[in-house]
Amino acid sequence: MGRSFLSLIVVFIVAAGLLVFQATQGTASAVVPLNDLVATPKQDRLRIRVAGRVADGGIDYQIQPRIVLRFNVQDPGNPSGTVPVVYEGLKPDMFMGGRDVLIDGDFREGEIKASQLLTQCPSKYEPPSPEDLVKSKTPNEVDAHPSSAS
Amino acid sequence: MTYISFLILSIFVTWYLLRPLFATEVLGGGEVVSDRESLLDQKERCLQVLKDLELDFSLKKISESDYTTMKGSLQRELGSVLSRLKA
Amino acid sequence: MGEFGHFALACAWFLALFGFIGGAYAGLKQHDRLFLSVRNGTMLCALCLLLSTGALGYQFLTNDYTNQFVWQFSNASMQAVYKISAIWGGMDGSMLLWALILSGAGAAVAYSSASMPRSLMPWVLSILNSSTLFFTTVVLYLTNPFRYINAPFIPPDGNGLNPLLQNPYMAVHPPMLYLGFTTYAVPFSFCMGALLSNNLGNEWLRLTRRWALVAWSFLTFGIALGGHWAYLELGWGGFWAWDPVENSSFLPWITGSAFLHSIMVQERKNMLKFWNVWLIVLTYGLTVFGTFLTRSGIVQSVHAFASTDIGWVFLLYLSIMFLATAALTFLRRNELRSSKTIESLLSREAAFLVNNLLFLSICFAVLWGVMFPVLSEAITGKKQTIGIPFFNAVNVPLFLALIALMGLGPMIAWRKASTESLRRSFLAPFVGSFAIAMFLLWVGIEGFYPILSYSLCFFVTWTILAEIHRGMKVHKPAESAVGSLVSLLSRHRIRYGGYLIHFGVVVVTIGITASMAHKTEVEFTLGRGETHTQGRFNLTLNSLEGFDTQNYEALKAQVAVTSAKDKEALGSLEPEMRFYKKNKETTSEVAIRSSLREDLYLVLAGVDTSGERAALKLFINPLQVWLWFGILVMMLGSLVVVIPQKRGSKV
Repeated sequence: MGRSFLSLIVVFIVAAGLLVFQATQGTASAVVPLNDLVATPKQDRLRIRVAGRVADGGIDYQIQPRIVLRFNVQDPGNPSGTVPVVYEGLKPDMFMGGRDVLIDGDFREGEIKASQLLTQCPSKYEPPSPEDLVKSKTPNEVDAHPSSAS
Repeated sequence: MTYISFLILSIFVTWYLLRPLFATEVLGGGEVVSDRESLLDQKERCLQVLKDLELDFSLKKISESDYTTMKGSLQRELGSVLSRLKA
Repeated sequence: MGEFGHFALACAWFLALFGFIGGAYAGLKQHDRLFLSVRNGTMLCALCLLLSTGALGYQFLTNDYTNQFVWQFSNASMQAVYKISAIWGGMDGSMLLWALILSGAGAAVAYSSASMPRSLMPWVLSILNSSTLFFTTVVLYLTNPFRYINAPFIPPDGNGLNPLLQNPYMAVHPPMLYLGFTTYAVPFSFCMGALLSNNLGNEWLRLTRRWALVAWSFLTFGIALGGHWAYLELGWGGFWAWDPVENSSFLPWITGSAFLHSIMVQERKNMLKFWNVWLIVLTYGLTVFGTFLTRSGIVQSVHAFASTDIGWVFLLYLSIMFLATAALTFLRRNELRSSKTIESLLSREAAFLVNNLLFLSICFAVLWGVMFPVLSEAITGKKQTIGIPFFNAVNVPLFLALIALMGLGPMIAWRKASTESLRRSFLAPFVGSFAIAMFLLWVGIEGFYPILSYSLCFFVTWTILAEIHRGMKVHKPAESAVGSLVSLLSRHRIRYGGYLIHFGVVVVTIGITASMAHKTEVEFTLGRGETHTQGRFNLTLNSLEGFDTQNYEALKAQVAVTSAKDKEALGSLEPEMRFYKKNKETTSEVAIRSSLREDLYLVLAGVDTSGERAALKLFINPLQVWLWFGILVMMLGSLVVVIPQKRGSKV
């Protein structure tokens, strides 16, 4: 094509590249496995993202004097290790024990101070399987319905 | 009941699918394979671009030499479309 | 009924296969009869998918829990509209819906194809069928919604759709989005058809211009619906979180917008042919990539589908498409080459190119942000993410540059603009916009980007009005102003429709800038009868009551809004907190009071232990409705452009 054409493209590639690079440097946060935090609670980590499961106990939602949510988060594969989280904001929809959450924030003095908290809703697109249904039924109820195989 | 519905669907699909291959009169009625519609569309498009070109020229968005060149090529295209339509 | 649905789906698969192979053969041999057969087959395919989806819908409506998918996403107490919406509430059904809409678009093209260029159409239908074939393959073999329930008995009731999804928006947002995504298969097929049949004049462009705009419009509206739904439901006062799923719908919108502009250069000056081919292929590819992203689990998102193994199939399809396009463009490189070049950087052609480059930069930035976790882990071994701050830091300047271009572009002459003409066109609006900026600063508006944004919006509006005024003067200077205006707009409907779309973008930009840059966010507690003052408003808690419905228990706060100045009653806000009995989930229902000036957005965060004081969070979002209104203006503009001209109009 023309020289103008190519020079414009080059300028844009360079400019966009610089813009993206600079913005990435300034805002990237490390995705840290929860077990790392459990293993080394003394090590402060700033600007991290953690995925985990809300522990069943220890959920404390205060609305006075400020709205503050405190809970513990655990790795589903290793439920014994938990990390406390404090989030100054509204309790997200569908937040409860057993739910998976995505936390952005800083890990300081053994605690995650969350700047953003998002709940994953497993029932939304990951449907329960009928096996769960079978397990939840009592033996009497199971017998009452004829099995499709018979 | 279900198998009957399978059968009905299969028969209808097969018939409608293969119909053009075996019809004695292929190009008849509404199934004419021709370029007429698209030529009419092209004619409309040429006319519209000519109108827009004229507007751009009067708004001084296009130089006189460019205007004459583009107008000329559009008119040639329009001419060929019209003659194909007549045919 | 489930078996019938499954059978119809299998028929559709065979028909798509026939269409793909038959269309290619008919194109190769110019076999008219086979072409007509393929045409029928394409329409039959849509019919079969319609029957299949209908069967699934029937199973939902009749609570047929022999179907595992129905059991997973429906229950007897749901309203009928949500039982239908549940079809696309889960992955299997959503892929079926996609295949259905795609085949519908194919059928529409097939119907009118008998009177379109003979050398081109068989190939077009072949490629369209190949797309349908891919998606029906995915549904039939990987995500079949007609599975028999895997349990020893038929359950008496289903699991139900997530309460957040039992919302009217669930009925419209996904189908609208899918309409946008799938319709892009049409210009893509025309492009591939043109390459395959070596028909590389502007015919394929002319035939698909309308489809490209229709697809873009559906996509715009679908994305806006999603944003509006998020705003109403999610309680964080915003409408867009740069979430990977949101981004995956945005990416094809970006390249689709670029395409709408660059085809104008090809039409006028026969340039950018090679560019346009890759742009439409990229746009279509991004629609497929989007479905891949949301179903493969490679990026984390709060509204991704469950991660599954079907990702590789999409990647395979995309790779094949990429290779085919590369091979074809290489093969046809001579026909795609343009004789003309961009002569001056100060020209309309260059402006369009800059437009495209800006859009592509945004596309790259968003893609980078979405894929960064995967890339960073692959390259450095340590996984990192970038979120909202990144996207805003990069996209705000790029979009503002596009806004500026929206004003500059239409003024610049083709090929080479003289400085004289530029001065004539730009001096006044530029000075005016600078004055606006100074005024805003003086009035107390802070922030470089907000002020720049408002000034640019003013600039663009001025240039659009100036364009119309100038057009009126040269067109029919002797007639009355109204007569001249009407005749100008009807004679050049497409151009001025485009300006209307641009104006819509301006309104949207003002809405986004104001609601984000000047947002107020406060938390406070109120006892009964207490008042909180925020800006112009007094909020008084009148009551805090609990109540019970069939599906949930709720706590509702009734808050009266009055003017702080003259105590005039302005309305009432009633936010709720709900506890759904079946899934034991809590959600909050936001209360919103919208006006042209601002939105009052109130969330009930909770009550204190005594049950007497409500904790509330208030957002004040200035000019929020301008965003939604601007989208409607854009849609009106699209309508003006898309409606076909009456035949036989006078020259």
